[in-house]
Amino acid sequence: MIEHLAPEIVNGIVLGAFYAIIAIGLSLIMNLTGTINLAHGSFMTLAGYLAFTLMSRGSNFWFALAASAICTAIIGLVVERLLISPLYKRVPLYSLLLTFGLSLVFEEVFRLIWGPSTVPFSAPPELSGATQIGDVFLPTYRLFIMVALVVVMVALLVFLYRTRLGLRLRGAVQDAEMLAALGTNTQLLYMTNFGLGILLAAIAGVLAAGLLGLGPTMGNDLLMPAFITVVIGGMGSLAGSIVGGLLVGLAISITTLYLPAASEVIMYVLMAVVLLIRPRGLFGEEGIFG
Amino acid sequence: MTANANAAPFLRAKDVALSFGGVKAVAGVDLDVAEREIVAIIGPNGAGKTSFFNALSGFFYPDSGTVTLRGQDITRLRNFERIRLGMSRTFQTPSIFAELTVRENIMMGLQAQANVAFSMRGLGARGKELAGRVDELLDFVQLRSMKERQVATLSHGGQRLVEIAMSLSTSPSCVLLDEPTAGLAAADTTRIMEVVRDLHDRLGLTVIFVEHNMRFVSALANSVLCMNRGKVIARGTPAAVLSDAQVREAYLGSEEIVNV
Amino acid sequence: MMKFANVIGVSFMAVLLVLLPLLLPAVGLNISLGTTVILFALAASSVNVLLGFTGLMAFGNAAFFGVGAYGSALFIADVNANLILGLIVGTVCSTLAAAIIAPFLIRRRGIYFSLLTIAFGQVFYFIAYRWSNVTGGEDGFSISKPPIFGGSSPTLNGSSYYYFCLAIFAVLLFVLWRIMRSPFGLTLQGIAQNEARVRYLGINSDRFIFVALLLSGFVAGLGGALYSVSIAFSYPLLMDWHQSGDFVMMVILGGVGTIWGPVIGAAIYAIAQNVLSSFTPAWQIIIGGMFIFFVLVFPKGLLGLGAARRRREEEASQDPDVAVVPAGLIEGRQP
Ligand SMILES: Nc1ncnc2c1ncn2[C@@H]1O[C@H](COP(=O)(O)OP(=O)(O)OP(=O)(O)O)[C@@H](O)[C@H]1O
Ligand SMILES: [Mg+2]
Repeated sequence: MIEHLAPEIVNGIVLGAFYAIIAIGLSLIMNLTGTINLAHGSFMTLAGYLAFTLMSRGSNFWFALAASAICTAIIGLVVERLLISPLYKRVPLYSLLLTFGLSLVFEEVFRLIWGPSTVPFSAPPELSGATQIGDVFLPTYRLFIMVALVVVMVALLVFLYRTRLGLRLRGAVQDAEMLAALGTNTQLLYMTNFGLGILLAAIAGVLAAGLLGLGPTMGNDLLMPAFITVVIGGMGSLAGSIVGGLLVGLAISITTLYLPAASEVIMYVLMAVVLLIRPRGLFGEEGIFG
Repeated sequence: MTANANAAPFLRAKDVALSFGGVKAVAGVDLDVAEREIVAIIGPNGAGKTSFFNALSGFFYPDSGTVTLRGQDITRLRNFERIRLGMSRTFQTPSIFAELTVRENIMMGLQAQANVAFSMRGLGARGKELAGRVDELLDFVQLRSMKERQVATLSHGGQRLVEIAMSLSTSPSCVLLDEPTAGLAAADTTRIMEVVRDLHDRLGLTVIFVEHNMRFVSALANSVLCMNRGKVIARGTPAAVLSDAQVREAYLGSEEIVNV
Repeated sequence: MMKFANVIGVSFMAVLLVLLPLLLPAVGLNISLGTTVILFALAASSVNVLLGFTGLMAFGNAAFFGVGAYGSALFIADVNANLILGLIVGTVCSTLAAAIIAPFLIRRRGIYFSLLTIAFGQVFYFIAYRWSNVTGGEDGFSISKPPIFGGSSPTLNGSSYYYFCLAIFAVLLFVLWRIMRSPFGLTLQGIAQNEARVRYLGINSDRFIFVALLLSGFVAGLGGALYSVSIAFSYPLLMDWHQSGDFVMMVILGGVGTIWGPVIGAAIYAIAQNVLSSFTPAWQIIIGGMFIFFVLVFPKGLLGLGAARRRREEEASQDPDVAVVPAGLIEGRQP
């Protein structure tokens, strides 16, 4: 029993950590600027492909991870400045549609450059194989991802709670008007916020590539559970994203074990139940987005 | 006050409090309003007058305290349910349907009142009757000639009158007017004053209004409530409140108090 | 604002749509493209009911479209090969689907509403995807075109099916136009412009939004039911959020909040997709690029171009885009 369940639980936690990281980025962007970033998944895929290209040119995994995440974040900033920022003064529908168009373009570009099927993206040798913990063997790469995502999350929390820019960002996410009144440069905050969200997505994208296989739709496949994570956790809540992500991840992986056909539907059941009990999600508060 | 001493007052707010984050916008306000009374609420900017209206009318639920209308506790009723009980309000910045015509603005509330709002066909037999009501209400605010104009194209004063007519479309027994003359020129102010007087004199409504124009307040109000920093600092007849030292102090420097 | 355009406009569109089966082959296109335009226009109109008329940013209407498609196709394949009955079943299913998710949506506004429509829309996709012994899973399943009344009644093909769809579409468009001019439609417009005021007229806007969702589900489902018969096929991607996005984009391309906008948008989209995909496999880049271009440059769509200019001349100060934002704070702090 436990030897079946343990890997699935690890699996669930790993998936959940992915969802959480993606959801945090989505949620930050949504809360500050009202943009539902449908291109979030594309940025993840992009980071994966960039890392893949670097590695196939002989770079090692670690350099590829860092370089592609940074490149992707920079591309994200350019996209935010050129395409999304002109829409901030409009109804949020337009930025939603813009990122939708962007995701279509990205997906097709990926197909053109890297082909329609998955490319061989393997974890570095030092992270392959299995590690024994107690009586069970668990894939090393998954354990690594778990640790890596925890590190990323801690780093994020340190940034948000311990640096000036992070504090301002958090303040702005909670009350954009207040910050504008205090005279903080809001455009700079919007940029930082978007870049941060994309950076998180990019790191998750590279890590996910080694786990789930890297194809043109890899990021988009992770996007929907991440949206549901945001809804379950409550929009704009970091804690909500983390708890929500883990709940969704565990629900999916455990259902995969017992009732594979329901493995996606389960997250909707979870979402519906949470919304019935707490209409704004587990950690959601009354917000300006109704 | 005209209310019978042992009957429950028409509208009663008891110890109503409402805060935003750390800001106590309304910090325990009591108010009794008798039927057909005209009550003015005054106070400097940020005193919490609008927030008090919001708590009375269900725009926000108060953090504590109760609101009763004709003895019925309405504190937790949703805003549209209060309207159905006869309460009605306007907003500090006119809340209207800018892209619709004056007629459509008035019609929407009438339809709801006549229980035909869900009709996906026409108004049917009620059409004539409701059209007549639209004309009546527009006559009341003297806007009949503007009936087919888009509301966005009306002057500020015109929009305020449309909003008053809209708030009458639900056949209220009590209206809350939030600064009905804010931002208006003298001529428009006089016109609005007359309309507000008519609300009481001709329609027999209970009127509660927030106002900075003290000439208006002393000309119309039976009683006045002065708020500052979320609290009531004076209440009574217009003459008494306007000559109150605390009231004058609260206004000093923030606002020119218009003398009687 | 909700005029049935003018007589010339309507006549022009009517003549164009009636002659389309003759025009399309003349430029080397298939009649089925005309049918697709009409059925996408139905789906786009269903989005418009929420987005244009009620001011709700709906992003999940492909779910209703797909439920309609699956409902009718499954009924026709497994129960009774009868077109009319199939359409009724498909439409009932999609309206029911709307009724099931509506309670989760009606209290939410703004991007929260969008988020929930995206999320809930996708549940039907996964059901179709996973419940493969019924739905054929990822590959979907094909059907053969059913006789119109079942049994030995005639089967509609090619241009006769086009005219069948066109007739239904014309009726529906007229009904939608009537609804928008009805008391119900007026209230929806009120909700789009200033929901707080609607509620302060004693109107429970949530209920209107509920009915608008049912109406939207009904229209989308009818489009979907007709569509799966048209292509004799039903597959999960019909319900994917990408499809929802395409429907929303059609509304924006044509002109949001107008009766004809979704029709024009659907035509642009379907024809562009058809023509481009025969030229280049990378057509999605061009479509996506077109979306981005319209969002940035022509946010009011083609029909909005004229209207926007007229309004700007009348009144230079107000930004119409900003004015459409649904009021978020209506409920205040309610439990
Ligand atoms: N929705 C809100 N969110 C946050 N703070 C608010 C909100 N509404 C009011 N406040 C705060 O509550 C306090 C009282 O504001 P309110 O608008 O009630 O004052 P007022 O007496 O109506 O002033 P004015 O004469 O300027 O209209 C102010 O400090 C204001 O900033
Ligand atoms: Mg005020």
